[in-house]
Amino acid sequence: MNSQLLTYGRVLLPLLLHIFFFQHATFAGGWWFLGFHLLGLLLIPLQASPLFLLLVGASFGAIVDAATLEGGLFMSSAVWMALAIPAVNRLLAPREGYEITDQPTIASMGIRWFTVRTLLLLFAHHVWLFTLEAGRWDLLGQAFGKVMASTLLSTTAFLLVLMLTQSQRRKR
Amino acid sequence: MRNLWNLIVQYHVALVFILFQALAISWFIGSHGYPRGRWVQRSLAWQGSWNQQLSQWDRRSELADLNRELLAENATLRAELHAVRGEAPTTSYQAAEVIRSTWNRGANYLVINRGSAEGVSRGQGLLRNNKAIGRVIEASEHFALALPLINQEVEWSVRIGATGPVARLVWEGGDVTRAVLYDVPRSAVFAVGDSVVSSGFQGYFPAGLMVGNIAEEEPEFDGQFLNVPVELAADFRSIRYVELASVQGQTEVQALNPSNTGTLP
Repeated sequence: MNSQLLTYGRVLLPLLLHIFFFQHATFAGGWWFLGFHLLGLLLIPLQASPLFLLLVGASFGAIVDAATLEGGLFMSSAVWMALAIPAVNRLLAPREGYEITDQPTIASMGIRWFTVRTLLLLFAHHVWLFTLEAGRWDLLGQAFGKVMASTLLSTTAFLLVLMLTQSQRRKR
Repeated sequence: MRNLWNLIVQYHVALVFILFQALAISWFIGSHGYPRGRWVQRSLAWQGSWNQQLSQWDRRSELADLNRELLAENATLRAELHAVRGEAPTTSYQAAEVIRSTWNRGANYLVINRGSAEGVSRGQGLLRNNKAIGRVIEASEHFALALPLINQEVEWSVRIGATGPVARLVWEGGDVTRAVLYDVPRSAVFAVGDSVVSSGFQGYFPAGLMVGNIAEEEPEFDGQFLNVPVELAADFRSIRYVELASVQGQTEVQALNPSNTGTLP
C-alpha cells in the first residue's frame, strides 16, 4: 500500500509542482524549458502498459496546456514521449530483462541507466515540442538550440532532484 | 468484422496515439495564438486567480501599491490631457496589472487583472508609458488575455513618423527588441531612428502611439516594397503595469475589418 502511494506521489507531485511553480519560471534567458511534469512521466513504473503510458501522457500534457494556455502543444509532445518510453525501456533493458521490483529511478536502476534514458526521452519530447512551437523553417535553428539546452539542463536537474530525494538502495 | 476487431486490438497503441495526436494538434491549431471559447475563459479565470495570488506574494513592498495608484492617476490624466488638447477625445484609459506574461515563446501572451466586470472587452489596446504593448483577445469576469506585439501570429498596422507610409508590423520570433515592417513602398523616405507609431486603423490603439524606431540594419528589398527592421520601444521582458485604451467606435472599426483575426484588412 505504502509503495503504491509512493509511486502515485512521485508521478503526480512533479505535475503539481510544474503547474503551480515551474511554469512561471524562466531559466537561461528562455533557452531552458524545465518541464517538471516530465519527471512524473519518467517515473511511471516500468511494468506500465503502452496504453496506460499514452493515457497518462495525454492527461499530463492536457493539464499543463490548460494551465499555461498553450492549447495542445504540451499534450502532443507528452503523448509522443509516452509512445517512446516502451521503446527506450527495451533499448536499455538489462540482458536478463527487468525484474518485477525494478523502478525507473536512480536508486533502483543506477545513475547511468537513468541518465541515458532521461536524455533520450527528453530529447524526443523537446524536438517535438520546440519544432511544433517554432512552426517555421527559419526558426528551426533556434528551436534546436533550445532542444539541446533544455535536454541537457533538465536531465541534470532531474538527476539532482532524484539524488537529493531518494536513498541509494541498489545499483545494477 | 472479426478481422477489423483483430486489427484494432493488434494496433490499439498506434491508434490511440494517432487519436491523441489528432486531438492535441487540432486543439493547438484551433487555439494557438488566438485562443477563444469557453475553456479559455475557464482556464483564464482559474489561472488568473492563481497568478494573482502569486503576484500578491511577490509584492512585498509598498512601492507596488504606489505604482498602481500612480498608473491609475496617469490613465486619468492622459485622458484629460487628450481631451484638453483635442487630440484624441475619443480615447479613455484604465489601469491594469500584468499578472502573467511570456516573452520567450513564439506565441507570447499577457494576462491582466481586469476583466469584463471592469468593462474590459476584446480588441482593447494595451499601452505602457504611451508605448504600444498589445491587445485584449479574451476576457473572463476579472481577468483578460492579451497578445503582445511580440507574438508571431498577429500583425499590427503602423505608420512611419506622423505622416509617413502605413505598413504591417510583424514580430518574427527570437529577439524581443526587434520586429519588421512589411509593405513599405520603395519610394518611402525615412531614416534610422525615425519613430514608428500606431496608425489607429485597426481600432486597438489611438493613432500616433509609439511602437518603436527604425533600426540600424539595412532594409531588405521585396519586389516593389521594403522590409524594414524596427527596434521596439517597449521592453516586453519587464512589463508589470499597463493601461487599457478604449477607442470610441473601436467595435465598429473592428467589425468592418473583413478578417478580424489579427491580420490587416
